[in-house]
Amino acid sequence: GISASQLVAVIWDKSSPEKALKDLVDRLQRLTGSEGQVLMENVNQLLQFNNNKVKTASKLCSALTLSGLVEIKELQREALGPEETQSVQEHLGYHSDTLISVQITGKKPNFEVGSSSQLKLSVSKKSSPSVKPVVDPAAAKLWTLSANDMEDESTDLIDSDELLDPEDLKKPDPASLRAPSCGEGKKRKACKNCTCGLAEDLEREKSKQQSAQPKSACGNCYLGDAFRCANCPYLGMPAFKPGEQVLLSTSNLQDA
Amino acid sequence: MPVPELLVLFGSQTGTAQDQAERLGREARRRRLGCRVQALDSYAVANLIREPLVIFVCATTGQGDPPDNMKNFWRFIFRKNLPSTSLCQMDFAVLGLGDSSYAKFNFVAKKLHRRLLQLGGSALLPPCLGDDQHELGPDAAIDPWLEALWEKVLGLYPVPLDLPVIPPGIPLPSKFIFQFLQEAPSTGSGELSITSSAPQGPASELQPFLAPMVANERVTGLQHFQDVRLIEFDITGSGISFAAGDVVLIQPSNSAAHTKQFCQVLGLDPNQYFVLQPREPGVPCPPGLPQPCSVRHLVSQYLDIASVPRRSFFELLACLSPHELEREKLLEFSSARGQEELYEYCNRPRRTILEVLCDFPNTAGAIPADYLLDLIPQIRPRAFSIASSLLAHPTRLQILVAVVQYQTRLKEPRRGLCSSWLASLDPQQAGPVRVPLWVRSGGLVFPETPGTPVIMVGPGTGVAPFRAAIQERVAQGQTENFLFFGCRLRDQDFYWQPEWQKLEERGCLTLVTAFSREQEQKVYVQHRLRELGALVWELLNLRGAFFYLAGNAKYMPTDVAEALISVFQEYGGLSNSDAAAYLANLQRTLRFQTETWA
Repeated sequence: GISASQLVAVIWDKSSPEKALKDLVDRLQRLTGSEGQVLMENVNQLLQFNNNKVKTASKLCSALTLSGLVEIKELQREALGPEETQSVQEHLGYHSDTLISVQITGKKPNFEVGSSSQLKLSVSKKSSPSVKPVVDPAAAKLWTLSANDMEDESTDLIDSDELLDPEDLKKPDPASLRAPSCGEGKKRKACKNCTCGLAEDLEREKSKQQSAQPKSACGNCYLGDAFRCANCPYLGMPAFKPGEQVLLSTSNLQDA
Repeated sequence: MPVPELLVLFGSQTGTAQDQAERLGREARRRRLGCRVQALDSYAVANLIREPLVIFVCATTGQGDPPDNMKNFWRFIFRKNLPSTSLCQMDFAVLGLGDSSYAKFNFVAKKLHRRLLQLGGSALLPPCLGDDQHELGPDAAIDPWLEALWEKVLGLYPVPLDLPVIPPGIPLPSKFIFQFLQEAPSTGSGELSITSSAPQGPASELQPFLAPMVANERVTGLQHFQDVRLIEFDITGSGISFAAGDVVLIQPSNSAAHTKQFCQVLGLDPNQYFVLQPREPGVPCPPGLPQPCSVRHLVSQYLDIASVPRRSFFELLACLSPHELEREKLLEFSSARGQEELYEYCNRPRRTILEVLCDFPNTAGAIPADYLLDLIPQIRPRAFSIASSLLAHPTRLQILVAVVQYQTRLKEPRRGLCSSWLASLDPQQAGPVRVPLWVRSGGLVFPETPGTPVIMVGPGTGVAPFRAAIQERVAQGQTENFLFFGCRLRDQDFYWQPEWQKLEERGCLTLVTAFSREQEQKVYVQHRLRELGALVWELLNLRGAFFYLAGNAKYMPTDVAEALISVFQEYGGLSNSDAAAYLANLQRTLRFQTETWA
């Protein structure tokens, strides 16, 4: 399954007949075309020098990335059959049960002279939300894998207490917990169209006022606590219909 | 140009953080931003690396812990193997809700903010630290922070000029549409069935077990200020299993009187049935409601009309009000400068949604049914420590319930919804009384190794989980049980006194009592701990004992911890800091465990 613009690596050793090898490479080059590439790698060299060009499939991928190809994708991998493994062992003295042949595809990037591409910088966090670094695919994978296993109790957790410092244990200043206008206790309010004189009293800053009559002069008592003035004898009772008989206990007639 | 999208993820224990998250959602929509609001554990965290803009709204609960609906996320986000560039695409902000009277104030928000930075995220703002201790509650910190947040966000995602901001006062579209049925459905569904498509399985929040109540007995003396009940359920056939330290969740209902009053004030017919339709595709219907549903079921079992409304309630109500005077007041209550007044009117006296609606009758009568689910939150289940062991009472589940009742400046006394509802149920009546419940693991785990002594400190109703533990351990042959129990008066609130006596006679229990009001000065459990410091030290240091604390108080845990520290110093000869380290070590190895409730 070789096709155009693929990158093919051919691993050979001295046992490969030269003509057969050349024929193979010619065929591969024709198939992969001008966009693709055929790499020749001597297995001895690979093993001896621990060549960092090709060792494992992932190392091959990074090597290709470093050499300028983009869209690197591993297409297929196959374990070597027993005969092939045997052959490697006989000719190279290298024994491994995990030898594989890997098929990888890559593309030359389409850079014309003068073309431009935006650099993704993570520096500015200010105005535009689009200037954010792309999540590293490896990081994304790790996160997703972890998130898909929420039940896993075995993973280590950091000690969240270590995130705190002594400042966090400080109690707030009690003054900061007071309501802004509060100073002398509960605010006493006069109702909207006060005619009972409370508004005047508040202005004169008198501290207490006797409330003798259960009958209101401002006429708002029936409306409910939200509309009643601070010395209304009906405070604490639900709203009622004007003119309705509402019994006040004697305690309601005393000052709050 | 695509509509910019914001993701709001929340972790909420009591619903406050959820309410703030939904507020963020509404404010986003008013500014023409797309917005998704989800609980953290409901969100597929694999997708987080692709999210460009996320606001985290997180409460801190218990002892610096994350709320239940973000516990899975919490375990995930601190994994060592998460790469430090994972969240490089993300601009984020963290809004925290907490209480500065606790040492671990807003620890969840603080830690999350730093961890997100470690993982490559960019913070738009420093974390907001909402504080219950502020006179005006968390909004004092949240309001200015949100203003700054929107400025930043709109700087990043400017809204197209032809789409102006939706001003306050105009309601956003309701989440659901109520399609009322002309006739009641023939199957008469509603009362007992929840979602018909849910599979049968172990009892859970979505499919509670309807447990018959078999006993409901007052266990405090009649002179005692508080009515405390020992309530027993029959759980035969439920498949429910539990161990000592586990917790039962109970879903309460509103009283018939309140249900009726609510329907009257809003002009609703309780006998009418409806089907819910979400307005936007992809939005699920609330799982706790049957379809079709009756108005009566909605109001009595689902809408939390006995709860204290939040600011968002007033905001929406103002938008819906046709009455000038009422609307003006409602707008005032929803504004930033009206928060102090709102606090006086609503929060301080603990005024309920139903009471507020009665104070604004013209508005209440004009509320379209479509907005009921936007306006009123769902009734939340209440948790109780299980007070019995299956080894002593198979097929039974017992709890100890203090009926909550107190006075504020409102004439009508304040009552706990669940405790009052349970207290009102009479198992002797004709026909079974059934209570929806399910079980979950509690915060207390008892040692399995035989021969491990256990010290339990449980004043008042805090003794409930220890009664279960002692029953269980005695049945297993574990007899080294030390219980420190505190209450007011031995003849008024000394729960299970005859039972303890028998166990002491059998040599299965050492009981140390503290009766706070039997003498001039107050005597509490922490005083007894100090008195018996030598024994406590020996048990902990030489015998490998486990220490437990349970109860209803904000300061009791601190007082007991202080007593322990002084015991370590006096009898262990440790310095102050070494004693604190010793306690911390006990906590780390689960030999010091607490279960406290506010």
